[in-house]
Amino acid sequence: MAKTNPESVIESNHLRGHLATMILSALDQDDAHGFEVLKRLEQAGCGALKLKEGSLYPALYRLEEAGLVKARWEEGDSGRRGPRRRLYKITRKGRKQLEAGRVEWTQFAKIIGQIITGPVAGAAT
Amino acid sequence: MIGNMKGEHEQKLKVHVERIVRPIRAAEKDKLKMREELFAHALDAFEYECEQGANESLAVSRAIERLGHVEATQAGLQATVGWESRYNAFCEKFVRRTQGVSLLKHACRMALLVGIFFMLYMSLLMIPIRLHELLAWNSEGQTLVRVMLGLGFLFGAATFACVVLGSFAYQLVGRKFSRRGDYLRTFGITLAMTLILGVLGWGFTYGVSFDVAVSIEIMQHWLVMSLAVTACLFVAAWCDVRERVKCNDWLELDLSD
Repeated sequence: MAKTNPESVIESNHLRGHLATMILSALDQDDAHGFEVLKRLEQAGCGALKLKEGSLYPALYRLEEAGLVKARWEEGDSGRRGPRRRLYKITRKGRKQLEAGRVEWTQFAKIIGQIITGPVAGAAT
Repeated sequence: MIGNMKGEHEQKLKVHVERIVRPIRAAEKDKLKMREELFAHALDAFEYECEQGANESLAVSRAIERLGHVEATQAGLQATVGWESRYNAFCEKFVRRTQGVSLLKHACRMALLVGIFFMLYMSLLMIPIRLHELLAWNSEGQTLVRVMLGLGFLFGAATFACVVLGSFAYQLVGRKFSRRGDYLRTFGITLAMTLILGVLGWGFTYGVSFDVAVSIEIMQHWLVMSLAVTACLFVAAWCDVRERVKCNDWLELDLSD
């Protein structure tokens, strides 16, 4: 994974509220197990994203409970030694939620970006 | 190197996962799912760290660090447990013989549980019908109370015997037969004990009531409920074996440092 400037690392607390959308986005490409989801997110973030891996599975279980993803145990003949993994797949409902999440984030980023980068004092007068 | 991961490193990862999952209040099958998934994740993290050039000890430490703080991860997982799973965990706490609890203590607990349940059941059944006799506290009312108490005691005693005998039967024949065979055997012993105690119970209820009609009426209820209890015990034991066999490796882990 690409190395980044430590000052530009995004901690997982900054992502609160958006983790679900990010996970759905990672699963939009293809089915994946938890570690693979994490790798996709870190690769997409160019190594600047540092997720607490312990928070990944609670998020996945919540998504599963909400019907946004479906999970199945991987087949026994995957050729991998060790315990089986659970593969997650985004559902149609999950894709709709993902689209809604993308629109929401785009608007959010646009508004916050305008506030932070634009002149706030001028807007008050 | 990855394919030849030492057992002790795998054990460290398992212990860390068990530290996270064991205290969670959820049904054992849900906890088993969490255990397997987190362990698979930890192994993937270990293999990844090894690929990045870390030696095995460092890779294990990093894999454990990646899973996060035990309490925080535990809290996150606990928050995902639904009411159904919590309810099952509550029931399992009573029905399942937990690690470290002696057979005698477990059998007494089960006996108390079943005895109280049947006394309540009989009370709910009989009190509306015989309320005036109970309130009058005449000889019929007193007989009724003795019968209900007696039945509660009988069911409790039957449960105690079934749990103890079933466990001994399982231990005696466990090596020779499949686990399903063990439980069919236990079911047979349970049913036999239930019927034997039923005959004794009839004698008891007849002894306290001196009324054949009353004792037969009670025996009819007893027969239906004892078969239901036997079936429930069998199903619970069957499920318990299936879950326990999968969970044993985890439940036997020593989590002390």
